[in-house]
Amino acid sequence: MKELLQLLWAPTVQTIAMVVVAALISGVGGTLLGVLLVVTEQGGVLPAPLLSRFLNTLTNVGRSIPFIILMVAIIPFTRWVVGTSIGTTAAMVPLVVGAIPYVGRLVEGALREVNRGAIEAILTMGATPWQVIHKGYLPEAIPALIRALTVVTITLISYSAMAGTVGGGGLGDLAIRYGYEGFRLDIMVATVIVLIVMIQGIQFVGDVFARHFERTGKANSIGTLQRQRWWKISPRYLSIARWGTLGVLLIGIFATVLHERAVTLNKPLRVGVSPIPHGEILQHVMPILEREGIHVQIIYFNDFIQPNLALASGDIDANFFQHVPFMDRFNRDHGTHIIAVAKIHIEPLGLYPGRAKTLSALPDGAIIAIPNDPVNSGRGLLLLQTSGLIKLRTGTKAGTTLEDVSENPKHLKISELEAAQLPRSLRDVDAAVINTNYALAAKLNPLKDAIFLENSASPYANVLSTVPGKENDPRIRALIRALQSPEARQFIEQKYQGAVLPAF
Amino acid sequence: MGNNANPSSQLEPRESSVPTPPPIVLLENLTKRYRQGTNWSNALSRISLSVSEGTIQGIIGFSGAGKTTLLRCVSRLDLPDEGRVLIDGADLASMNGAQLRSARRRLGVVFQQFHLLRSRTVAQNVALPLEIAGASQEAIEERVTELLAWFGLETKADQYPSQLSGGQQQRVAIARALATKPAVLLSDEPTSALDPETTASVLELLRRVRDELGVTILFITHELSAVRAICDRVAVLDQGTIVEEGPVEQVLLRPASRTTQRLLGRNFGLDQLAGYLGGRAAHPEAVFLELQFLGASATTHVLSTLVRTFDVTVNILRADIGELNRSSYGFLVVELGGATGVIEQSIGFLEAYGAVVTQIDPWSEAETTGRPQ
Repeated sequence: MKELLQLLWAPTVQTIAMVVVAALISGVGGTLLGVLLVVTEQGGVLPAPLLSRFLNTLTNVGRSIPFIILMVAIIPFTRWVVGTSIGTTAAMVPLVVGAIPYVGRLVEGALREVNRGAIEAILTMGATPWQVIHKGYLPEAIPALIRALTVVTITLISYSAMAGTVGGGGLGDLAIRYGYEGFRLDIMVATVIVLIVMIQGIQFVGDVFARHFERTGKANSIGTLQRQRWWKISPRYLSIARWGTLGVLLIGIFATVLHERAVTLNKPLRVGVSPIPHGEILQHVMPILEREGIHVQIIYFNDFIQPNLALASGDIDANFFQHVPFMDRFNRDHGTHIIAVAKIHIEPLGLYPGRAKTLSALPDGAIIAIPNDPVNSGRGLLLLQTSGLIKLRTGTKAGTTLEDVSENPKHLKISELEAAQLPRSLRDVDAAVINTNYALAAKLNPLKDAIFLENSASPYANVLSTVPGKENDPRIRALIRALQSPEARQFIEQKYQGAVLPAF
Repeated sequence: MGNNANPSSQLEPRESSVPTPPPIVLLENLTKRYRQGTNWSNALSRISLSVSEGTIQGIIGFSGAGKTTLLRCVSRLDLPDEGRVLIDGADLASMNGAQLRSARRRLGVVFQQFHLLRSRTVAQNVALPLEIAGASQEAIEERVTELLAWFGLETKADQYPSQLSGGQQQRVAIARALATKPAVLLSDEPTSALDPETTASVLELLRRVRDELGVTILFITHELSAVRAICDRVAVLDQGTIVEEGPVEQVLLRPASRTTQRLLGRNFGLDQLAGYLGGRAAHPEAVFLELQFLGASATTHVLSTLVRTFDVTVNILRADIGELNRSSYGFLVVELGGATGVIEQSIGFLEAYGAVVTQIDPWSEAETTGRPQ
């Protein structure tokens, strides 16, 4: 329970920080956008057809970009605004940018619900467009605006779950990493409960205020109407609204500050990882690094592009999630200069027995299935070459295809299949090359069942990467030592039972 | 009024005996066009109307006659295509920006659906035009207190519109329209959303506004009863033009235009008479007469005297007594049977008593008003 609370604390703070800050900023920006959408249209109080068309297009474009793509696409902008592209603060920027068009449309809808006649009545009093907006549209739309802000805040909570992509943390990220990928049901349930409580709370507060500002007889029965200087807007509820807003603002600022302090207190070595197994291995060796006085900040990524982009831009100091062939292709495609500094582990590709039970039992003309995707197909062919079954004219280079087979003494028929289908094909083939994750899913044990397994010599070993200039940083050297330590080896062998093998 | 010796003198236009003050509202050749597909059609065609200060000027017409368009052009919610809208000497149609905003404060507008701000209390709604005009808080407080007292709304000051009845909301709307002491009040069907009892009290309130505050009122309506109750003059609008305009007694008792006759006919249910009479053929020598009396003659026993004096049969089909511009007003539809000469004599007798007599044909009334039974 104590562990659970400790785990939940930081992500909860991060989620509140992200959502509150994003809701406030996008609330202001979106309201401005919504007001402009309404007043600049043909027949509005401040008609500007060109601006109106531009804003509409901009809003539609903004709304049609999926949030996950937006988050990645605006990274340069994010870096320009907050100085970094990863972390909770950085996640706020795409949240705000993504939410503004959404808020804008909601505000537009809320303003359009305002009685058109009341607006015309204000116009006949000789009001300026600004007076129409701040004495008419906005106060009249307050209940609808509060409802819209409630919807936005709740939507932001679900958006913030994707913040893990840029290392933003938060409850959604916790649920994905520990709950979903780590099979910790308790954490998943706890996270969901915290989220439910948050969303219920926001909805409740939103409804109470919206109902109050509807100014129907019913709502006023909440409290008696006080006689006061009546031309000033509001009975005591406005002060509740003021203090409420201030309170939420303070909580948001507090959460942000708390988080930022934790981040910036001691400039740590920032390492980007995939949660499993990379993150778990790194987590395990943290005490070794702490003993050496090295602070490591682990930043979790849920995709394979961001950790390299963040590394190349200097937002992180090293990453640990990829193998060299992937890294090389990334460097070629993105013009980056990421280098591998240490092999840590391999999730071995294995040859599993089908009708033939051993390597030597494979008959002449045996059928061997290999994965059909480009990376794993080449990797499978390399495995077959290492086992001595075939020879490739390309040697040990990555990117091999079936065309490259130069010697095939046993006349093997190599057929390419969808990787996930390979375990199922075992009954119909003599042997199959299967990725560890699919082998485990089919209850195959790589250490016991495979008739041939990739070893640490494989180029597909997962490596610690960094950028030139940092490879000799003493902190990086210490990190390598820790990741290649006997403790790490023992952890890998015990924890993953052959699904992951040390590659050092 | 009510001089029995010379009953018809009541029907003379009032303005002949009263010096004419300068017009406070002057509409000149007001034209507004709307596009329907590729065609342009006139919603208003060259409307000209002059309203003197302190008048309650009715503007009546069937729906679609252009009443709403006229109100929107006069209040400058729409820009007329041609013509001038002079309110207290300032031409709203040619103004824009700050000039228009300041001129608008001389014109209060009241709407059928009240259009109060839901987010503001009664007092705050009344204060709104003053806030917009940039009045000081002291001035606002003073004026709002004064208005709420005048309108009997003191106890409602801190309530929200949704807590008020329709009639109360319309009172607030009228108070709000008068906040900046406008010279002219433009009211668009102000009683059409109200029940008859509330309607009467709102109309009475509007009359007080004119009598005690000296505000000129442009009163747009489709309800003849409202025109009869408070208007001094009335303009009849049909298909975007004014077909008839004059003192209310003249226009309503001796309608010159077919539109006015139709309006009156529908009001008195003449269009439904044919239905009540059914298929029965009229008495071959019978005539149908519409009789209107104003003033004291409305209350005399004209018909019984008629029957005692002439050899005629009288069948009363409809009868009503009401108020027209603060005089009593009687209305009858009768079927008169008898010899042709006697009927003519009877009509002469009735007119001598001060009745306005119109011969009608119930069957054609049903046709022309487009509501056959």
